[in-house]
Amino acid sequence: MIQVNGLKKSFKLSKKQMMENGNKDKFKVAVKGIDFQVHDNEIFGLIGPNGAGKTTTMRCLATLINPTEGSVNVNGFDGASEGEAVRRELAFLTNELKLDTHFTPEYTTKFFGRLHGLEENVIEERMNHLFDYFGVTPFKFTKIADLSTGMKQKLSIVVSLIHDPQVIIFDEPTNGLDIITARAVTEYLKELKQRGKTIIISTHMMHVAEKLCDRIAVIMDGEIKAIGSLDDIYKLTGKDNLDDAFFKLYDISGGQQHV
Amino acid sequence: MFKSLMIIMKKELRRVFTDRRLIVTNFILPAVSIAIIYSLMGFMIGKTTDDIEAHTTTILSVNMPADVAANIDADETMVYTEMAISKADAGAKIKAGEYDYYLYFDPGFSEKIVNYTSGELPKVEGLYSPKSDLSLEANYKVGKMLDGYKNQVLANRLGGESFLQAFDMETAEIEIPKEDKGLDRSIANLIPMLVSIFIFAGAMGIGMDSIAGEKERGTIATMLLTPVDRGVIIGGKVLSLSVVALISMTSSFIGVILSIPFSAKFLSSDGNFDMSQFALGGNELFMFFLCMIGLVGMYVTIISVLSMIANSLKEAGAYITPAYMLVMITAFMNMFSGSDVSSVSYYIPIYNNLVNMKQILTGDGNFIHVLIAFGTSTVITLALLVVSRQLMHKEKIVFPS
Repeated sequence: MIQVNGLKKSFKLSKKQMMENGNKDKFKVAVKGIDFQVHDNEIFGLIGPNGAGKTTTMRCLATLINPTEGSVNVNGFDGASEGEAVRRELAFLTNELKLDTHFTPEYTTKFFGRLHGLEENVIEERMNHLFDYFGVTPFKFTKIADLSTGMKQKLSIVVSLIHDPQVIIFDEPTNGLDIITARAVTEYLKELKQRGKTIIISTHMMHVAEKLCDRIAVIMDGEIKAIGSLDDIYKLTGKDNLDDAFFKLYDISGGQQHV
Repeated sequence: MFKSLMIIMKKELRRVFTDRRLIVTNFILPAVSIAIIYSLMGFMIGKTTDDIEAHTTTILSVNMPADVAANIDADETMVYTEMAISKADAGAKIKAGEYDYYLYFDPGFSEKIVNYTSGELPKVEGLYSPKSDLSLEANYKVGKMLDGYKNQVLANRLGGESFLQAFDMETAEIEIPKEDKGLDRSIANLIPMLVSIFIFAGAMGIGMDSIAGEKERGTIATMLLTPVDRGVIIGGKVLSLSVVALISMTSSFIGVILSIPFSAKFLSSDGNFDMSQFALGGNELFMFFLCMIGLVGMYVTIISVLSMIANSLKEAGAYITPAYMLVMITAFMNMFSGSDVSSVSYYIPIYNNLVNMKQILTGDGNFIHVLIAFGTSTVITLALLVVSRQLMHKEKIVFPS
């Protein structure tokens, strides 16, 4: 389970960034005090335009960065004070995290499995399962540098899941994948949900969110504009699809709207 | 923690030792290039010296007296040509390389010498080109020959050569057993400098890539998602870098050793250095190793901290270059310092290790001084490791964009 309370994150701007922004604000507030919960056995979607604060929220959850205010709690562990325990519980995938292209998928996966403290036989078993599922097996001894973009993305998913985490946070997981692989990823996320995992995904693809997510938070300008099930969002906006609902919310100004 | 440290260290070493490009540039190229460059330098210096030694000095003389001519004739390496020529014309010929030296004697020089009682001395003029090695050598040889001639003249005037000596003097070296004598001083001055520079240079390239490069490529952030302390991640990188620096230094040193048959002429003061002089005892080797480890720790952590601060490989290069220059300055300062060392030197980080290395090589190593240097190095290394760990927790450092 994930619990986010009053999460606020601001970044100090460099002089260059201040000049680019054209104002004298020394800080940029990326996330403005948001609250939400994600339960076990649930896929939660974060949707919003670029720069809305989705990735910053996810990075705070993954303990890569610390909240300026508020707290995140993952499976009972506090993100600020129990970072290592939180990281043991979760998988985080985002396109800013890269794998060393010099190594092979086999070595890379084993390396991260070892860093998670897994036994060699456990790593081997999980690696083989994930490699088979995502079609990495034929390329397991190929240098990552020589893999296609899609195969690299699939390998990143494998690496993030090697320790069988309870909480999965995927930022644009189908980004750059062909339609077949994208389907394999979404199917796998459904399978993980069936196994009781807690899942957060962010996506720009509304049809993916509609098909996959049990609940959705629409985040804009660092604030949650709407949160709830698809039906809740449709009711709030008076629309019958997520695409239109999103644009309706985009046009609405005002505070956070819980439904 | 130790297990994670080893996992990261092994990964970093695997990164280096499975990359042919890195192996060639860090371990093979230093040995090969240093061996070739030093051999070439030794060969060229040797060849220049041999050429000068084999050359017959040609002197253009005016009014050459018979007794001086006899001295020149007795020397197989000099010949003279008597010619009525002005100093300016002779200068032009020397400049053109036709002759090495111009030697002018006053007319009636010998008579003036024999009949001299007081007043104006008979005149001798010499002319050479400071731009020509052969002419410089001619100036040295003619000067030496005329000194000999002057002594002959004085001995004749005083009534015998014994009158030229005011006293007999004997000097002797204090007897020092061979095992305490240490290396040739020039070599002992040179080796700490080479070791210091080779260690830093060996760690520099890979250190920058391993930290600043990984930051730039986003691969370090992936490791931050594992349940491993960020200090352990940087610690693993520092450990692997230390191993790489030591191997690279050894490789460079092998290059120097391979060049010894050719480079001994300029590496040692007497040109007779050979590998048998490297026979250091167990204690000396242990002390030397401690000094090297001290330097490795400091250099690797300095490189790590600077690479952490940098946002890109290019920026890391800009930060590390001044540190490299500082390392070279300390190395040269030690190389050109005398054998008397002030006690403060044993407390100055980096420099103290270099001073100790030199003293170990000259047979004057002191275990207390080595321990003091090792202690200061360890404290600085640990302090820099703590700084590295703190930097790993700074968002602006780890995620600069």
